[in-house]
Amino acid sequence: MSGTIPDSAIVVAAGDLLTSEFDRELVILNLRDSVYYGLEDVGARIWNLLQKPVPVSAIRDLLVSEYDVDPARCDRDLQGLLAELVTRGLVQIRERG
Amino acid sequence: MIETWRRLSGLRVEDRRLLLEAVALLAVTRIGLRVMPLAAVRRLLVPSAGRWPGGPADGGPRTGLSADPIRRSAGGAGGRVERVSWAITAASRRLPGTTSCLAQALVAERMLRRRGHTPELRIGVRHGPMPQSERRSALRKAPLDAHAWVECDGVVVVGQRADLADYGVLSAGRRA
Repeated sequence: MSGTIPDSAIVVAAGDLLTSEFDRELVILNLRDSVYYGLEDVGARIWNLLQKPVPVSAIRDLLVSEYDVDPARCDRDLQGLLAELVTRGLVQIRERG
Repeated sequence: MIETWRRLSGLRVEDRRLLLEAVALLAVTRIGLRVMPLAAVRRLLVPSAGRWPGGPADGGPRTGLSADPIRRSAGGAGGRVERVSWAITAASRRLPGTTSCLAQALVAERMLRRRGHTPELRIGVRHGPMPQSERRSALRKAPLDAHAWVECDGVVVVGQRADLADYGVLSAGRRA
């Protein structure tokens, strides 16, 4: 999948995953490929937001309000993380918007 | 070969059956885990399982577990659980190479469910020992170490280890 995920796209954590908060790190086990992933800090915060279907814009807006970060930079980083999560099957795009 | 046969024929009929069942299931599971995702292997072994176990609410180590070896009882549920535990351990020893904790746990779950128990499959992670080369760096995290085990009626049936409490249990996420 190439190209950015539209602001209005709805994203959500995939099923068939096991997770644990462990030592200030969020560990995710993808049962479909038996691979473990770790997310920390902001990544873990974003993951919590993804537990229910949510528009990409809502995640970005929340991060900008919660963290002292430049919106454009936040957008880039968020896109990067979401793209990787989607590629690895941890996040689904419900509607492209 | 002759030695193994002699030992096998010396077992009680029920134990021999359990052992052969465990050997067959472990062999299939080991192959399955190499070629299929974990979720698919589990669906094959335990078709009725559905959701993955939730584990303790806080994802932390369980409490109230007996660390004692399972006591053998004359019959009844406790005895059956102990025999399944024995069969899987014995079968793992007989199979060539290593039989992973995961394979043993998946087979234990199936064998116990088939006998009317409610086993709980647990997958846990902890940070393994920090490699010597990384110790000086404050930023690197020790690699993740995973373990799988099965609890039944508050006892660890397979996968018991002295540091089991160090593992943070993974649980199925909340989905909207």
